[in-house]
Amino acid sequence: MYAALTHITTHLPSRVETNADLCTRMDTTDEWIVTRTGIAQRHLAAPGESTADLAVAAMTAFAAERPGTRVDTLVLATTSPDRTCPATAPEVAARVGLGGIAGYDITSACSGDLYGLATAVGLVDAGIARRVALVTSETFSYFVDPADRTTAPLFGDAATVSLVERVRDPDDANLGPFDLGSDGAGLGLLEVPAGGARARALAGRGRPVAWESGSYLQMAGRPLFLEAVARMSASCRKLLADSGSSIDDIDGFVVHQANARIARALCEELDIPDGKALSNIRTVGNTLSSSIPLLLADSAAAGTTTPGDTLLLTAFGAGLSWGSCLLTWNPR
Amino acid sequence: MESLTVLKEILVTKFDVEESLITPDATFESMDLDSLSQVELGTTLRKRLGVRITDAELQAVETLADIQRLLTTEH
Repeated sequence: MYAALTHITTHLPSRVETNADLCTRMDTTDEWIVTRTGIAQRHLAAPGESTADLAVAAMTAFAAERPGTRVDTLVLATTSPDRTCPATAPEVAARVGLGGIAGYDITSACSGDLYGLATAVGLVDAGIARRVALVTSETFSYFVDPADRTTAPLFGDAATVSLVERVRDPDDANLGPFDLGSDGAGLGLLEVPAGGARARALAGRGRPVAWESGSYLQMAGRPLFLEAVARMSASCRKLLADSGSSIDDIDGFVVHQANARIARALCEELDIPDGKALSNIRTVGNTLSSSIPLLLADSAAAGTTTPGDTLLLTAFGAGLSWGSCLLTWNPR
Repeated sequence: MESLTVLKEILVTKFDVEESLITPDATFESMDLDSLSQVELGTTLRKRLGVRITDAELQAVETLADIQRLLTTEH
């Protein structure tokens, strides 16, 4: 059995926060943010809107775009689940009329889409699933300190649905190979400390947890930048070597939109020429697990990516976690 | 091309630093560059000149003269 990514649906919340909006509540400027991050605006969930809500909106849009498609598994990649327990995927499935199908979350932060694609391909290849809706949904704006000018401008909210389904002809299989990696030694470079068992263990059983002391993202920008470039470049090189390809064989470079400067440094490191690297960070910011499918959909809509293109996807994020894969863009 | 010339060219073309600000005692702050610019400069120098400057060495840098010294010592 063979698996193919055949469709991507995206959903951006309608509320847009510009850099000018940010300047009203923190000591920064539009130029400062754009120069240092490449981001001019980001979409934010509406008041009261959560990760499950965005995921439901994306699934509803997907159902409209692909009517009659019978999904049998829903994998939700998110860094901002609605609850510590249970997973968010079953709620999303139930709310869109898919109650009863297999549904679970995966947590690989900004690498979530790549880990999710690998998971979906595995499920289909193994005959466990026929059509997987890989949903990415993030409302990470709730997890950053709104007064912190180093992190608040970076993140935007978004949800996507990627359909990974069984295909008969091996020539139609369009994902892979994959290279995935992680290194927990770097967990402190990017973390939200509160909310899990570690914070509860530190507080002690039966004692209240001081959530406010670690409920926002903590980021060590400089070492993170170095790790991001080193890990993604090594992963891309390994992937290309394993597949017998070179940068010349790649039509488009789809790098996780964390920061335009990381993407530029990565292109420089890998000798990727100007114009091959796709980008939409200016209008959406870093949408974590939604970043890559959002970029794929945007570049396809803009005509930058066209059917038959060979794309190199790569991502890096908290964990640390990273991954790369090849995709032949062939939507249906 | 001499390493100092390359350093100047990189600062002007890649980091948009005004040429008049590029002096031996210039600091990243005086050139309006942040700490990530040091990291980016390290990557670019390695690609352009084949010189490997560690992040610890870059963090210890105070002026452009310090970087010039790193470029002329063996790495």
